Parts: sequence; structure tokens; C-alpha cells
Amino acid sequence: MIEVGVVIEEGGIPLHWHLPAGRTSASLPDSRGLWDVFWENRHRIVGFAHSHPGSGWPGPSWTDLTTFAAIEAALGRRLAWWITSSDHLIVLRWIGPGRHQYEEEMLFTEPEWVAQLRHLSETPTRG
Amino acid sequence: MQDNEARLNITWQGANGDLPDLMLTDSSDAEVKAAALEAVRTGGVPGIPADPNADFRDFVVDRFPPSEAHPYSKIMLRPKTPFGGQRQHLYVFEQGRYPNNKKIAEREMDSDEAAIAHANTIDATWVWTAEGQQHRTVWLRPQ
Repeated sequence: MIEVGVVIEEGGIPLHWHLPAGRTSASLPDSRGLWDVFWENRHRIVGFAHSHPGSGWPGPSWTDLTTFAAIEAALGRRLAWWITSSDHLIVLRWIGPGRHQYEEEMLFTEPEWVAQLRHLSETPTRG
Repeated sequence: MQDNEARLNITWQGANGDLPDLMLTDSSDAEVKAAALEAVRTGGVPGIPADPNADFRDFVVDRFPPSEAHPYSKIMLRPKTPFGGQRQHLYVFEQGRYPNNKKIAEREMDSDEAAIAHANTIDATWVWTAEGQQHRTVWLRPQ
């Protein structure tokens, strides 16, 4: 398993699959290219999803939460942040008032792109 | 512009602009963030409305040498974009002798820094950490 991300635009459509060099089974590295995708498409993106290793309900790491907050601060708008495991999906949204206060929602109906995200996560080749 | 000068570009709250003052190319990341913070908080960056709550602690500094597109050095301040990372299990207890003291909180954490930040959110003071390579215990006392 190796972590993968995807930028989602309006309509729930995958806009950009994020498979950077240096990704591992537990992390996606900092990426100027990913930020460029966020910025250039800032008016039509709705969120970002990434995969976590293992099964069961996933949860955000501190790195995840601080990255969510930093990207939203730069864009000036809030986004949805999905996290998948091999069999579950959650989405996080900022509720405040603290900068890192995000509420987790367990999802029982999965968007179509989740299957592709999991498939790419199971692909052994690295970006 | 001199060879040792660079234009600082900042992105904040959906806006983007250049700091009117030039930076030295060898400015540290901390110096770059400090200059950006002061300028954005006071409305000193054309194109970016003043924001007294600006905060660049989770931003990163990219540096670009002169090129055909821009014949001068550029420094760009943008949000970080990593995800994931190794997590630690944080247990927060009231001050006292384990295991008789009350457990206040339990959650996954990435680092000591994250644990301290979380301790601050629950209005307690970091006192001491210990215990194992996989698990970390944080002992707290009331402020």
C-alpha cells in the first residue's frame, strides 16, 4: 500500500491525481506542484482526498490537520478533506473556532472516485 | 535589483501579491516569514487586504533563481502540503501517581509539538513526557 491523493472539483469529479515521488505507505511529501493545482483551480475545487494505510475508520494526523488549515488559509475558503482506509471513508470539515478544529463525518455511501483512489494506493509502483 | 536581492511573493486568504521591499536572497525562512507576517498584518502587500490574524507558521518558503520568465530571484511563501506521517498515541493524565490519576484525553499525535499544542487547547500545562517508543504519556497539572 502507498498513499495517494486526489483533488476533487465541483460535481465530485477528480481533477488531479496526486502521486508524487517520495510518497510512502504512511505519508505524502510536501509538493509545490500540488499547491499549484490548488491555486490554479481555486474557484472550482471542493476538496482533497488521500488514502491511509490499513482498514477501519481512518483519522487525521496532526500533519493532516495543519496542512488542511494552511491550505484553507492561503485559498481563503474552506474545503472538504476526505480520508480513506481500505474499507472506510471519512470527510473532515472545519467547524472552529480553533484553527485546527475539524469535525469528522463517517460516510457510508462512497463517491465513485474512492475505488480508483484505493486501486492506486494498492499499486506498488511509486510516482 | 542586485544579484543578492529577491522579490517575495505571498499568498494569503485567496489573494496574492509581492512585498514592495526586496528581500536578501540569503534571508532565512524565519526572516522571510517574519517580513511577510508584518506586511500582511498591516496591509503592506498590494493585492492582499490587511489581516491582523495572518499566520504563516504552516507555510513553506520556495526559492527560485532568475530565469527567462523572471530575470530576478523570487521567494514564494505558500502553504505546506504534506499529508500523513507517523503518529503517536498521546495519553493525558491529571498530575498524580499513575495509574490512580484520572485520564483526561487520549488521541493520536504526530509529535511532541502536536502534543504540546493539544495540551494548550485543553488549558493544561505540559510537565513531563515519557514511556516507550510507540506510546507517549504526557503528565499535566492545572495552570
